[in-house]
Amino acid sequence: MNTTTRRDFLKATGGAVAATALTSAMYAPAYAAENNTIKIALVGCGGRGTGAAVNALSTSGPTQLHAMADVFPNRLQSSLKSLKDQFGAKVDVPEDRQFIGFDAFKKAIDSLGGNDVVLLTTPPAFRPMHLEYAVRQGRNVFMEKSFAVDPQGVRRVLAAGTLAEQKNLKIAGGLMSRHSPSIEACVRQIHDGIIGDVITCWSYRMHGPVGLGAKQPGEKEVPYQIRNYSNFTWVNGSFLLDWLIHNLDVACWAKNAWPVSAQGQGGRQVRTMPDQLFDHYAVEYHFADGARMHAQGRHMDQCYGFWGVVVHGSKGCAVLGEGISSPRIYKGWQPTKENQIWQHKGPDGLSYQIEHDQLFQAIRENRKHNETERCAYAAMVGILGRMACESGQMIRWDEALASNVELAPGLENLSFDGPAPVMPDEKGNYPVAMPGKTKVM
Amino acid sequence: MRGASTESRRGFLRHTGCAAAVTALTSAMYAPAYAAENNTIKIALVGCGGRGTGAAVNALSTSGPTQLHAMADVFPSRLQASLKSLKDRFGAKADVPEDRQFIGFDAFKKAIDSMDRQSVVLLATPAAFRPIHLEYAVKAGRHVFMEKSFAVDIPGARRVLAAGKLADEKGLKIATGLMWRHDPARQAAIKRIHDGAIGELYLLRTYRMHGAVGYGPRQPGESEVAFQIRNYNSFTWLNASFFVDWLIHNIDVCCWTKNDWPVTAQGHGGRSARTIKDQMFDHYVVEYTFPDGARLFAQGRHIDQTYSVFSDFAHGTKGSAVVMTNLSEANPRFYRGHVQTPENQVWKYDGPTPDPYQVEHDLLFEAIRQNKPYNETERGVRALVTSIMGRMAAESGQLISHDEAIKSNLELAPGLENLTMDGPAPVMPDADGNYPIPVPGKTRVL
Repeated sequence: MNTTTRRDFLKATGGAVAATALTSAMYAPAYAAENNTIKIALVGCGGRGTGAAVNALSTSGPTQLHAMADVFPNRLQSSLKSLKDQFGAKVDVPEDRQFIGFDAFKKAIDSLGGNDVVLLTTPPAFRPMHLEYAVRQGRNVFMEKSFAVDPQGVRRVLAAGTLAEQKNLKIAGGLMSRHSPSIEACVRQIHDGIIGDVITCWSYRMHGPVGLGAKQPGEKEVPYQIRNYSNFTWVNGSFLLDWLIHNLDVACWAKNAWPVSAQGQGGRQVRTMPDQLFDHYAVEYHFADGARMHAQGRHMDQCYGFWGVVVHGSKGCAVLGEGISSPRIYKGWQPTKENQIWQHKGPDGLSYQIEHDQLFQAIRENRKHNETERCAYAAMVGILGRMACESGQMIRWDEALASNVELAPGLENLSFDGPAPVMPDEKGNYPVAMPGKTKVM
Repeated sequence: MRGASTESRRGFLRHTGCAAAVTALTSAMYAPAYAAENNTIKIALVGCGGRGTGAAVNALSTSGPTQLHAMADVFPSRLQASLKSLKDRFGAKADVPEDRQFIGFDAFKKAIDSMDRQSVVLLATPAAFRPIHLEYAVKAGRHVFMEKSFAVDIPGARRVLAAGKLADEKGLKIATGLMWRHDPARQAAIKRIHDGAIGELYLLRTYRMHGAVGYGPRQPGESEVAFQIRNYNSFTWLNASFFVDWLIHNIDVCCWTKNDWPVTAQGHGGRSARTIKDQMFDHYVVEYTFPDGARLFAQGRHIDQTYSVFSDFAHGTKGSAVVMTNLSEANPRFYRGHVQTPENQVWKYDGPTPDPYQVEHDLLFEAIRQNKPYNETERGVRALVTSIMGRMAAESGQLISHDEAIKSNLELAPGLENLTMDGPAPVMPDADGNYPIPVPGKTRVL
């Protein structure tokens, strides 16, 4: 943070005590509290949303949780309680700023002022709609992954990101691996050529299955599906997107490119729960230079598990990404101890915290900070792979991105009592994609 | 005869004791008028389906006198159809009177027994029976052409390997149906790759993805065993899965290109579009790892209306190769970099492209006539084991190492020797007509 910018910010807030503030703890509440407190609205009060609020409230300088929105009152209340326990008076969400329902996000966003931050952490189906509104209202945004579930949504997110740029709003995205000092250092080594040309990336997330909560007595279809958002494609975009996005993104980052096409396979071989989940995906992505990214996702018990990214270069390989505690680089393609040539030294950091620190710092310093495009494209990688696996087709990125297929048309008008975007048949089974038949574009 | 030296050819003729040898050498080789009696190689066909009939065509098309002498199958209709088509084409060379048309599960023994030394048995039944048939043929002292696949499980692979060793001891020649090993185009490309044309190989990709395999509904009165054998592609105990039986060629070529064999495999598979009641997975994805950490990524799919590709690719530190373009032409070529466009092409094979199905028989028969060592068993078994490792990985969801795999004692059809048409089949349908399908995480494969 340079002094000039900090001064500018304090000048902008009109604080007469600016000079003093600079010599003491930054933005200490005793001085500039009134005007430089960044208010926060949390939209989506589940585990990740609550975690994002914790991170936002833990950034330097005064912050205050001001409003909360969810479709489930109990989720909002438990999140509020845990945040109050941890942050006390910084959590100032009286009843009239606890908003429930599908339009709660609007009320929470409207309750903020300029320079405030909205945390968008609902399931990704709603992200484009929420982001559009937040940007239109002039709010800074932290948005959790995934950022959309279909190409239409990706385009809306991209457009909102462009508008944010024009309005000088700051947008951070929840691809925290991009803010991990050790992963950054590893990717820098790769970009500097330590393993030669990046020729194949292997992205994996293979582990046990995600559960499905039983339908509660009297529970309507829409809340049931939202509560089980990992199980319904229109809500989370499939686990290939929502659970592999980090490692897809890290691999593309290492490669320093986005794929141009994909083909792949997937299905439900073990899973018996009545939902829409494939339990395995294997996607072959192609980059413009002919390099490949092979992404594999599996949700099965008692199978071989691996969670991470392996990057093969012409001179060596790297193992990094979500699921890998400490990135390492090796000569050759056999990642053994004796082949190791690099490992991150120096402090690592909590990337979930860093992503918020950078956003809030950018707001306070009025520095450009907009991660939208990278986030939207990372989501598009997952969406492209899902489209390839579900259809069995070879699909080009630009064709996919231009597609107008929406997983949940009319989402703006969704209600708890109305029909859900997918409905079970008389046996309680939901539609499952079938390669060769399912149309994805 | 291709590449036969006069010396060894003479040796063979001496061995047959034919006085007309010298004359034979100066006229058409092995013309029936001269050495017919003693140098005619008799052939027995065991398994008279499409591939078996094709193998007989190739065997009867080799240089020198040959004669189809006996045929064996479990289905009379299949034997008759094959015989008719071979007779139409080869006339008197297909000399299989009724008493050398053998039907049933022991027909192979009778066919093999009907021949003498220096004869050739063509083993072309579904892969399940190959170990039994090969053992018997070698014990009886016959040369063998065996179609892929060579077994369906590791115990079967071990039996084939042991029979191959015994064949060596007995001076018998064994050819395998991995015909692409005998394709000059692939040989030329792979030799260049071994010489470093595209650098060190780090990734091989092979695909066999196309529409669903056919399936014949059960005939009225048809027994379970007969039904399954007729639909051998649909039952794992018979053809080892399409990942093995349909991708073994490509997997073999990729390993040949890499000049190594994988040490581990892990992968995915399932039935996502197939509704026919059988055991087939309709898709497989297997990631093999070589000792140096390089990978072979093998993909198989049998689903209609999906992206189709049937090709092999290799990527090296200095460039990339198409090893096989499609089934009808390998057309191997090299590229600088990994974008395989015409402007990046740096080499292309432009030599002869004989039918590799014919070449593999030419080489076998030549080796027999010249009494040259010829035994492809070990390589064939290695390709088989590699393919089976992939099936094991996809069916179980486990990381399977070669060292673990080869210790497996799991037989897909124990007691196969005693199979009868009317007895129970190695897999039986449940009350709803469904057959057991592997469940990754649950299915035991080792």
